[in-house]
Amino acid sequence: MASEQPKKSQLYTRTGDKGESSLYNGERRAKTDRIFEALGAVDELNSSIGIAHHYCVKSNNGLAEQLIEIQCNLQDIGSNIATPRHDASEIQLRNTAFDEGHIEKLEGWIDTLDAQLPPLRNFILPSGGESSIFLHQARSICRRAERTAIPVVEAEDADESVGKYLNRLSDYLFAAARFAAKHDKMEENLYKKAKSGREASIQTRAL
Amino acid sequence: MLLNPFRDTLRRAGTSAFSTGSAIRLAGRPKIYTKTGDKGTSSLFTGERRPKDDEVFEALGTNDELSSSVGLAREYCLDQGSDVQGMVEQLEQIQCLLQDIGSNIATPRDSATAPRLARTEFDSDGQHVQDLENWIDTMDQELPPLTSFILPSGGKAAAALHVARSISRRTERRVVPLAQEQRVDKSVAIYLNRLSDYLFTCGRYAAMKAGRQEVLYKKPRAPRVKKNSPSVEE
Repeated sequence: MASEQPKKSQLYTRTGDKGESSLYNGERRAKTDRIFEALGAVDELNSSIGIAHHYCVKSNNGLAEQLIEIQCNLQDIGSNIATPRHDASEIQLRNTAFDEGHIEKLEGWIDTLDAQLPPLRNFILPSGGESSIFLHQARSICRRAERTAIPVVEAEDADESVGKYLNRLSDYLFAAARFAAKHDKMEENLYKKAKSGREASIQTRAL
Repeated sequence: MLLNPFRDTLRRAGTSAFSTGSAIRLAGRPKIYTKTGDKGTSSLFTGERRPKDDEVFEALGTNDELSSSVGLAREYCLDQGSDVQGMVEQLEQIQCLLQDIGSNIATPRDSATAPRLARTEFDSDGQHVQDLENWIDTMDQELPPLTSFILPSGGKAAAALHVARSISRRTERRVVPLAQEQRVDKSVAIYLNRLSDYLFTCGRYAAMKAGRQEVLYKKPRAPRVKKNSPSVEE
């Protein structure tokens, strides 16, 4: 190890050590506030898309560019959530508004992907290769992020467009997962009701 | 967090009125399933039973998820090679500390006996937080300065470290109210706060060592009418 101390990083500020953090309008609140819960869930969603992106690049399935744009959208959604709409300046509101146009764009992407997929006849199990699996995982985290955002949107602390985008995003991730499985030529596993141990043993005994 | 797997089996062997008639062999084969949680309660380290949706179990479970995610990130770092070998060792140490954090959470500071409190104290001298800060400072020296937001990216290890980072922050959120009510040591909340900074730095460092460009945030434009770009077709 080097004998001289490395320069102190600016990364850790220690201002959160007592359990509070700041919003974009400067207001400090407890870290348990539902705004931070929503922010954190969106952060987890963003990270999980980062993993899915890695595998989509590896598979070269063409989804990578859309996933990057989604990650940037999620960053903007974070800014919107972190700036309570009733308690911010005009400039802050303008800089952090989240446009509904992003939702329409997602819908266009879903339409294009869906058109290339065979119709769904059964429930599928999250499966279908690396890219598909991680897109399914991102989908489930997206739905959790939407759940945490709902009370924040209802209190009008975040724009309605945020809730709508997260809702549409889980549909996109589902379509993307199926598309990724098809691209990798991987079988999706179908749901089939499992026989309970008892039924199965009765069956074998009858044999 | 793994409680002694023998403990419940031993208890049931001694008092159970519902033995199957065959001897319960304990040597080398503890039962993983005890069924004692089937009615929705579980025990703390003090022996106190509480419903599984108690805040303490929420914090314990989230800490467990964190440890799992750190373990996964460590595996990817192992795959990445010698450049991040130091990080691999640090992550393993952190997993052990998370186990200790679990013990601290599972032993409510406001109701446990003095010997139990002494056994499960966490980072009373702040050394573990200091270690995290030293590790951050060392890695930060090699990293280019941050001039814009980055997206969680930069290869498998970096992406997995970002996931762990986000789970670390969720763990902190679960612990903070318990620390404020003095049911968990404040040092645990401080450690978790610093840990997410450490994991962020690791994410950047792993990306740099993998030679992978981190993707920078760029505000997407929102055209209201155009629906078609960038589209994906086979």
